[in-house]
Amino acid sequence: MRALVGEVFPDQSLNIIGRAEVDSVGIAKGRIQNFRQASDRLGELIERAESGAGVTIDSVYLALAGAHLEGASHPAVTRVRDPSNRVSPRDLQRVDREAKSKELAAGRVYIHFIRNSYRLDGRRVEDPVGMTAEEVGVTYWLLHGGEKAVSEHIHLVNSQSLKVADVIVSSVASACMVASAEEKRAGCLTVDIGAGTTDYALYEHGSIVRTGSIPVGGGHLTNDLTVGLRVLPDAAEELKCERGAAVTEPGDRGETVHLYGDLTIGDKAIDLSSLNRILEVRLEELFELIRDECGESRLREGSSGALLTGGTSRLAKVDTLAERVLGIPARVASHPDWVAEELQGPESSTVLGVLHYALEAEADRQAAQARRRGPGRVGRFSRFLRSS
Amino acid sequence: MNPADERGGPGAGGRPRITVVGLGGGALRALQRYRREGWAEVGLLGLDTDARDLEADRDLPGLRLGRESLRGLGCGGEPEAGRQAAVDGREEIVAALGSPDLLFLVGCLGKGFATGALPEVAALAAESGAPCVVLAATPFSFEGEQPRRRAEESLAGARRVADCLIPLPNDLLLQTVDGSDRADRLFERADLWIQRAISGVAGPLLRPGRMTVDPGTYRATLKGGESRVLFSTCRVPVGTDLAAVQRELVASPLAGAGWERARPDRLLVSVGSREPLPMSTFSEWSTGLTAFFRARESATVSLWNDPSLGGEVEVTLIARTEIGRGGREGPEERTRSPDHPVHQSKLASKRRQAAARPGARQEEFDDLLAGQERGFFRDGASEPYAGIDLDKPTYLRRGIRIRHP
Ligand SMILES: Nc1nc2c(ncn2[C@@H]2O[C@H](COP(=O)(O)OP(=O)(O)OP(=O)(O)O)[C@@H](O)[C@H]2O)c(=O)[nH]1
Ligand SMILES: Nc1ncnc2c1ncn2[C@@H]1O[C@H](COP(=O)(O)OP(=O)(O)OP(=O)(O)O)[C@@H](O)[C@H]1O
Ligand SMILES: [Mg+2]
Ligand SMILES: [Mg+2]
Repeated sequence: MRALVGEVFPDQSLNIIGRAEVDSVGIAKGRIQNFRQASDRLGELIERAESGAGVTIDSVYLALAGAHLEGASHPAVTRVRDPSNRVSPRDLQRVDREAKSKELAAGRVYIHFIRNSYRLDGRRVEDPVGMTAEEVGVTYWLLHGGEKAVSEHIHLVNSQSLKVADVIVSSVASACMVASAEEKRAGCLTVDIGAGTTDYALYEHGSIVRTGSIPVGGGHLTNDLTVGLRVLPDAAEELKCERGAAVTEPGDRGETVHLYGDLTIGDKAIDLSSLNRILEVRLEELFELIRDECGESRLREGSSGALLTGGTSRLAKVDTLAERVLGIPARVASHPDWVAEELQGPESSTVLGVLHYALEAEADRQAAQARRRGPGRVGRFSRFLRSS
Repeated sequence: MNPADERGGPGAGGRPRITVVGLGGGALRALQRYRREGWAEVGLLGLDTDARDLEADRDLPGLRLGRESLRGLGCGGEPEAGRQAAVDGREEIVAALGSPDLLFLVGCLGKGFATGALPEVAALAAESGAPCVVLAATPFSFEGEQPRRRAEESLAGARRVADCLIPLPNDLLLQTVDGSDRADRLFERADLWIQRAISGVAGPLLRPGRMTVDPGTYRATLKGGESRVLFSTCRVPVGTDLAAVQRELVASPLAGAGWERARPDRLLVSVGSREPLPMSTFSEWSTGLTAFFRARESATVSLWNDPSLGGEVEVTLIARTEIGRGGREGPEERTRSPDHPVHQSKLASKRRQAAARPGARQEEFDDLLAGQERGFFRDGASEPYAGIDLDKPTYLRRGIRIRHP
C-alpha cells in the first residue's frame, strides 16, 4: 500500500508533502481477504503519511484494481436538432447522456465514464460545437466494478475514520502518468505490472478506449519460481530481482546461479535458463492475454507503442518480450520531469496518477464552490484525461 | 482377523500383510504392471465397474462393483456413478479389504469410477482401522477444467479420511519426461512413481535390513489424532552425499508443498539399497535429515536391502505434523495502542470462528498440500480468469518442461 499526501494551492499547483509505504497484508488481487489485517495496515500507512507530512488527513482518493473491474465500449448517435444543422452544446449533452445510460447488471456500479472522441456524420471531430452535421455520435468507455469489492474498499478506508473523496481505477491512474500527450494522440498501450495485478489502458486519438485488469503480477513470477525451482519464496523473490530476465538467451544454458543465504535448504545451484524460462512463459502468457483482449490488429494499426510500468517492469528484458508478443515497439516508461527523483520509480505510477487526479478534482471543487454547482465527476475526469 | 493384529507386538515373526487396492482403469493398469515388476508379497486388489478392464489381467484379483446398475460397463466419466457403485458395494469392499497391516489405495482421478469411489473406499478403509496411504494421480491441465475440478473434490473427500494422502499431479510428471514422449510413456512414469511410493513405504516392513520397522511404527506414525502427513521419495546413486539427497527429496514430484514450512512431529526415513549401508550413514542421515526438515523428534531411520535396487539408493520420507501444534506459522499479530482501536468487522470475527472449528483447521492444512502446484496462492479460492487458473504456474499448465541441473 502506498500513500502520497499532496497540498493543493489556490493557484492550483500541487506540492507533495508526504509519502509512505507499507507491505500490504490481507489484500490480494484487489480483493480484501482479511479485513482486520488490512485495516491495521492502512492505519499504519496513514499514521506514517500523517507524521511525515505533519498534517491530519481527512479524506483520501482511492485507486482500485482487480478482476472485478470491467469495461465496455458504448456508442450513441443522435440527430442534430437545429434546423440549420449546427451542433449545439445541448446536442452533445443529449448524446453523452445516451451513451452513458447503459443499464448495469445487479451488483455492479459505474466508476468512470470515459468519453472518446465525437463523430459528426461518422467523421472524428475534437470539438463539434458550432459545426454542421446531420448526426452527432460519441462512444464512451464505461468502467464498472463489483459493488461488493468497491464497497469493501470504501468500508476499509472508513474503518480508519477516513472519508473516500473519490475512487479511480488503477489502470487509468498510472496510464495518465506514463503516456505523454503526443503518445496518447498517436495511440499507445500502457501496462502497469504490479505485484498481484496488471492494469493496462489503450489510448487512441488522445483518449482511453479500453482498459483491463488481469490478476497476474510479480507475485506470480515469484511463486512460479518457488514451485518450479523448489526454493523458498524469499529466495525466489531475490533470484527474480537480481538474476532474472524476461527472455531466455542461448547463453543462459548451462550457466548456474547460486542461492546464498538460505540456511534451511543450503546453497543450491540453479540453472539460469530454467529460471528465465519460467519467467518468460509466464510473461508471454500475460502479454498474450493483453494482446488478445485489445485485438492484435487493432494494436498494430492503432498504437505507436507500449509503455511498461509497475514494479515488475524493472525485470530485465521485459520490454524485449513485450515487443515480441504485442508486435509493437515497447519500452519501460518514465514519469514527467516534474516528478521528484524519489518518485521516479515505476512503482509510483499509480499513486502519482491518483494524486494528479485528486488535484484536478480539488481544483474543480474550489472552482465549483465559486460557481455554486460545478460539473460532475465525469466532467472533471474527462478534462483530466485530455489535458494531462 | 489378521494374525499380525492378534499378536499385536512388534518384532513377532510372520510377514506383515500389505494390500494395494487399485480403483478404476488407470490404477488397474498400474497394478498390472506392479504384479509383473513389483514385490510378490504385496497383496493386490482391483476395484472397478468395468468388466473389461478387470478381466484384462486374469491374475490380478478383482472385485466388480455396480453389477446391477452398470452391468459391467465403466462409469462413463461420471463420478457420481462411481460413488454410488462403491456405496452399494460397501459390504463386499469391506470383506475384500480385510484388515491388513498397511493399506494402499491407488486412483487416477479425473474420470468416473476412481474419482467417485475413492473417498468412499478411503472411508471404509479408515473404519477398518488399518493404516491407509492414498496415492492419487490428478489429471493434466490439458484434460480440461471439469476433470480438474472433479479430481479436486475427490481429493478433498479422501483427505478427510485418509491417514496419508500422496497426490501425484500429472502436470508435475510432465516435467520429468522429455517433450517428445508420448502419452503412454507418461502413464508409465506415473506407474513408476506409484511403485516407488509403495516400495518406499513397504520396504522397511517387507525387506531384511539393519533397522527395519514393524507395523506398530507405521500405526504410530500414520494413525491417531488429527494430523497431516507429508511424503517424498527419491532415488540417487550409491555414495551421493546427504545435501544432494535433501535436494532430491524436496524436488520430487511426489513431494507435497509445504515441506519448506512444515515442522514435523515425527519423521520416518526409509532407505533402501542393494548392499547394507555402513552404520555411519545411518547416524549421519538421521541427524542430518532431522535438522534439515526441522523435525521436533529425531528421525526414525530404517535401512533395508533389496537386490533390485542395483547401484541406487532409495530414500523415502514420511513426516507427520499434529494439527493444533501449528505446523505452519501464521503472520504475526500486530498489536495497537488502545487509543487507536482496531476496527472489528463482523467478517473478521466470522473468520475467527471458522478457524476455531477443527474441520476448518484441517482444511487449512490441506491447502498446504494443494499448494504443490499453486505455491503460495493456495490460500485464495482459485477464481479462473478467462477460464484459466492463472495462479498456477504457466509452465505447468502449458506442459512446458523446465530443466533441472
Ligand atoms: N497411471 C496411469 N494413469 C492412467 C492410465 N490410463 C489412464 N490414466 C489416467 O487415469 C485417469 C482416469 O482414467 P480411468 O482410471 O480409466 O477412469 P475410471 O476411474 O475407470 O473412470 P470410468 O472409466 O469413467 O469409470 C485418466 O484421466 C488418465 O489421466 C495408466 O495406464 N496409468
Ligand atoms: N528488479 C526487479 N525485477 C523484477 N521484479 C521486481 C523488481 N523490483 C520489484 N519487482 C516486483 O514488483 C512488484 C511490485 O510492484 P508494484 O509496487 O508496482 O506493485 P503494487 O502496485 O504494490 O501491486 P498491485 O499493482 O498488484 O496492487 C513485486 O512483485 C516485486 O517483486
Ligand atoms: Mg500497482
Ligand atoms: Mg474405467
